Amino acid sequence: MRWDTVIGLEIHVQLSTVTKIFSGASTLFGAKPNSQACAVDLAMPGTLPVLNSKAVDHAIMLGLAIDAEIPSISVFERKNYFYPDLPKGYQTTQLERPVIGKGKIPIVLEDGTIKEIRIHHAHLEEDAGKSLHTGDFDSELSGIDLNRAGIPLIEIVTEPDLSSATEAVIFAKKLHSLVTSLGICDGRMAEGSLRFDVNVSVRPNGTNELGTRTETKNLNSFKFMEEAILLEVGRQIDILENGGSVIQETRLYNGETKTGYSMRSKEEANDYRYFPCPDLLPVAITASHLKKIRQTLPELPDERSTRLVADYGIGKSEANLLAVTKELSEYFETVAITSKNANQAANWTLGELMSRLNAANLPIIESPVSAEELGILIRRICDDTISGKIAKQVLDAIWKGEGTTDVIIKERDLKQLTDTKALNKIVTSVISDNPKMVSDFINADPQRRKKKLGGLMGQIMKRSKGQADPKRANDLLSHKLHQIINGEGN
Amino acid sequence: MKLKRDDVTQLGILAKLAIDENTINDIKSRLENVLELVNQLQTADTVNIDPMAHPQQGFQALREDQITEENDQKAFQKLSKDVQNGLYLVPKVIE
Amino acid sequence: MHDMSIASQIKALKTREFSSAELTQHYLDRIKRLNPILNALITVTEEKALDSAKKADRALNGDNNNELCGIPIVHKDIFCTQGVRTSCGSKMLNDFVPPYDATVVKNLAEAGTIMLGKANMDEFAMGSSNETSFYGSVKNPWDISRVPGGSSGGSAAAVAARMTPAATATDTGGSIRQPAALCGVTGLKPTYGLISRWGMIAFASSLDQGGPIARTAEDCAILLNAMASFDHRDSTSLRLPEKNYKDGINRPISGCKIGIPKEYFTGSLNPNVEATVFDMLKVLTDLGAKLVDISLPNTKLSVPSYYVIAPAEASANLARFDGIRYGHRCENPKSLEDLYCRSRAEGFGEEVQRRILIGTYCLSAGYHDAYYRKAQQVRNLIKQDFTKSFSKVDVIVSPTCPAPAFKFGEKSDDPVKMYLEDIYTIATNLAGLPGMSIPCGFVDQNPVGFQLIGDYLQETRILNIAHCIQRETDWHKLSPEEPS
Repeated sequence: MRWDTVIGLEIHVQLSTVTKIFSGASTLFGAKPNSQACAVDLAMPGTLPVLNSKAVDHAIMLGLAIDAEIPSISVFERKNYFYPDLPKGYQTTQLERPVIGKGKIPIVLEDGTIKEIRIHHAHLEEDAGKSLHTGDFDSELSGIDLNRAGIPLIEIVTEPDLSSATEAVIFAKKLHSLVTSLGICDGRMAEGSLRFDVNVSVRPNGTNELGTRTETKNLNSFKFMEEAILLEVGRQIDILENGGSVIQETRLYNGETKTGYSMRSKEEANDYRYFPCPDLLPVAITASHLKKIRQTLPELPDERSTRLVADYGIGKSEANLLAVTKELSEYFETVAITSKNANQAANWTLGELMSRLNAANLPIIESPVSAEELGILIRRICDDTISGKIAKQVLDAIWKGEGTTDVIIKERDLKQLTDTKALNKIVTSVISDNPKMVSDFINADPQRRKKKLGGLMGQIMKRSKGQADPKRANDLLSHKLHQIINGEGN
Repeated sequence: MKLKRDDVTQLGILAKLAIDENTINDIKSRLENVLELVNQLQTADTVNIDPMAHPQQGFQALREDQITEENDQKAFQKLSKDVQNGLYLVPKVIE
Repeated sequence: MHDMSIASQIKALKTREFSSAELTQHYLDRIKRLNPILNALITVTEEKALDSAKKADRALNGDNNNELCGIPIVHKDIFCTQGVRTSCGSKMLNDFVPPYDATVVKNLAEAGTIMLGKANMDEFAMGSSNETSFYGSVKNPWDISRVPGGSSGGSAAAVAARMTPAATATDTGGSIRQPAALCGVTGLKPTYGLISRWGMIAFASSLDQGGPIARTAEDCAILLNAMASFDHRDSTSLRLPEKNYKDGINRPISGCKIGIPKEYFTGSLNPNVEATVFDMLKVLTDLGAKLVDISLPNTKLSVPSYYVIAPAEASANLARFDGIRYGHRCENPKSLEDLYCRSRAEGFGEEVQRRILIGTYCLSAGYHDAYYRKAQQVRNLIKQDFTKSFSKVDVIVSPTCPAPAFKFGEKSDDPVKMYLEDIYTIATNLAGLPGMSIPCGFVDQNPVGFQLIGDYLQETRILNIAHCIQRETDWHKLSPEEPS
C-alpha cells in the first residue's frame, strides 16, 4: 500500500528582546547558571509579572508578515503542571485568545510550485528553565538552571498542511528566514532560538481521514527535523502494515543515535487546568499601534526576492536564495554595485563565497572578504585583467588576509597575458614542442577537433603560469592550427 | 456532590500533595461539604452572562524592554536547601 | 500614649511631647507584656525598631514633611520584609527571609514608620479565625477564649490591645474587615488596585488587596496616603492622580444616600448584632443622611462563587511552594514526585491543603465550566447588583459579620460554617469595591462591626461617613481590659 504523510508543526521562536517576557532580567545567552534569574523568574513569593511591550510588538510584526488576523484583545492564561524547570508551577501562556490568529506562509517547493501553508494561530508564552542531567553533582540528581525561565517565546502552530519531510524543512527554513528578517529572533538554532515540534501521521494514499498522530518534540536543527520525520513516518507505516495501530504520544528524537523514543513520563495526568492569569489583565492592540508597527516593518524575504529580480535582473531562483537573509542580500547588492555585473555577483556570492563560508562555518556578516572586495575582484574578471581561474586564487588570498585584489594581482604578477605578440610566442612554441598533439588535432574528425584543442590549451596555460588570456590564446591557437591544415605557410 | 476515594487520590496527584490513606475519607467528606456549598451556583441563571475574571475592566499596562534586575543570585540561593555550583538540585528528573 | 490615635501621636511627635524612641519603646514594652498572652505577633523586630525610631527622631528634629514619621506599625506577616522572616503563618515559610521588601512595606518605611514586628495570621490568609496559623491562634483581646477573626487576626488584635497604633493587613474575602469587627477596631479594604500587591504573598490574585487597620477612620486615611501608590511592578496597580485621603473626611453627610441591602439583614444574622447596626443607622439619620432600601439579590451566591474562584487561583498561586528554591523541603526525598508531595503535605496545613484540592477540582477537566466558569458568571451578576445600587445610593452599609467573635474550636471542625463567617464581606472583593468596618457597639461584651461599602475609588466617601460617625460615637475609643 502507498501512504500519504501529514505533518503539522509547532515552532517555538525565542524572541530577541533584551529582557524577559515578564521581568526585567537579561536574556543574554551563555551566562552562569541562575545568574539571570531574578525574583520574578524564580517565582519568589509575592512577585508579579509585568509584560514586556517588545514581546507584543514582535508578535504583531510576525502577524503582519504572515498576513494573519490580529485580534484587538488577547488573554494570558495559566497552564498548570509541576516541573522543576517551571518555578511557578504553571506556565503563563495563551490558549483561548492568542495574540495572533489565522495566517499563511507560502513556500516554494522543489519543482518551483508555490504552496501555501496555513497558520492556525501564534501565541506568546514564557520559556521554561533547563534541567541538567549530568554535571558536577551526584548522578542521582538533576541540576536546575533558570536563566532561560521567562525568555519570551512565540509558539507558531501550523495546520497539518505539509506532506513530506522535505516540505517541512523548506517551511522551517522559510520561517527561519522570516523571523530573522523581521529581527524578532536571532535564529541561532544551536542555542535553541528556534525549536520545532512535529506532529506526524500517515494515511492510505488518496484517503481523507487523518491517522493517529504522534508529536516529536524539541528538534533544534533542520537536519534532525528531517531525520526525525522520516524515521517516524517509517515507524508508523511499519506498525500499520503489520496490522498494529499508532498510539497518540509525545516522542523525542536523539540526533546522535538517530533513534526516536516515547516520552511516556510526561503523558501521565496532563490536566493543565488552564484559567486566565489574574495577575495580567487582557492585552489590547489598538488600530493605531498596529499601523505604527506596520510602518516599521522591515523588508521581508519574498518582497526582497522580487526586488532583486526587478532591480538587478538576476534569475528568480538566485534571488530567492539571496533574499533568505537581509545580510546576504545586502552583501550581494554591494557586490553587484561594485562589480557592475549582477549575474556574476550572484554567482560568486552564492558559489565561491558561500562554499568557503559554509566550510568555515561563518555567517555572512563575518565574511573575511568584504562585499566591496569581491565586487572589485569580479570587475577584474570582467575587464580581462585576470581569468576566472586566477580569480579563485586571488579570492583565497584575500580570504587569508594577504591583501586586496589589485595588490595581490600586482605583487604576484597575475595579470592576464593579453599582448598578442607574447601570446603568439607561447602558442608557437607549444605547437613546435608538441608535434604529436598537433598531428592528432590535424588528423581528427573536424567535429572532434575541439576536444583535441583542449590538450594544447592546457599546455599554453601551463607555460603561461595560468596567466594567458584563455579566449585570445584559444583564438590564436586555432587560427595557427588551421593555417597548418590549410598549408598556409609555417 | 459525591466524590470517590479515587477522585481524592487523583486531586492529590495533580496538586502534588501526599495524602495519607487513612485520612482520605475525612478529606473526602469535607470536600463534599464544600462542594455542596459551591453547588448553590447552579441555581443562578447565567444565560448570556459573560464570565468575569477580574474586578478591573481595563487592559494591561506594559513595560519597556529595559533591564531593571541585577544579579542577586547569592541572596536568592541562600534560601534554598540544595544548591551546588549555582544549580538548584532535585532528585533526578526522568524524561 | 497608647490610647492616642495616630493623628494625635503625630501632633505630639511634632511638638516633641515625646520622641519616636519613647513611643516605640512604650509599644515594645506592651508587646513584651501582652504578646505572650495574645500571640498577635509572630516576630518582634525590637532592635530594628529602636534603630529606625532614632533615625525618625533625627528626621523629626530636621525638616521632615512625612506625616507618619516616627509612628510605629506592625506588618501582617504576608508582606515581604527584607531581612526579616516572612512566614505567611505557614510552616512552609518558617525560615523564609526575603531579600526584598513589599511595596507597601517600602512605602511605609519611606514615610518614616517604625516596624515593630510581623503580625500573626491564618496560614496563607486562609481562614476567618486565625486558627489555621502554624504559630498558634491569636487570642481576641476582648475575651481570650474567643477568636480575633481572620485572616488578619494578629493585625486587628495588636491594634485592639494597643500593642501598636496601626497595622497593615490584607483582605481577600473579608480578612481586614471581619477581624477589625471582631476586635473592635477600624479597618479599610481599598478598591482593588489602589495598593500594590508586589511583595504581598498571593492567595487569590484577583481578590487580594492590602489595607490598614487602626483605631479610627482618620488614622486609616493617613495610613492609606502612605500605602497607596502606582507600582510599575504590579500591572494591576492603578495609576491615579496624587490624592490626600484625609481631604473631605470632615464634610457634612446630610443628604447622603445610604443603601440598606435587605439581603444583609436576614437569615443567620444575630438579632443583637442587627440591633447595634440599627443604632448606627439612627446615628446616620441624625446626621442628616437618608436611608434607601436596596436589593443585592445575588449576595447569597457570593460565598459559593468565592469558594470556587479563590481556591482556584490559590491552587495555582501556591504551586510555587515546591521545596526547591525556598521554603520547606522534606527530608531525604526518594524521587522528584516524593520531594513535591511530601514537602507540600508537610509544609501546608490542613485548611490550605483543602483549598488547594478544591481549587484543583474546580479547574479540572470536566468541572471547569460547571464550577470555575459558572462562578465567574455569578461574579459578574454580583458586580451588576452593585452597579445598579450605586446608581441610587452613595454608600451601602451592613453588619460586617453575622455574629460577634465565637469561641475557639466552635467552627474549626466544619469548613462551611467557617466560610459563612464572611457572608457580608465577600461580595465586595468579588466586585473589587472598597469596604470598611468600624466599631458599632457590643453584644455580650464582644465588639460588633459596621460595614460601609463604597463605589469604585470612593474611599474618601466611606472614610468621610465613617469619620462623621466616629465624631458622634465612642465605640472606637473603647479598649479592652488588659488581659493578664
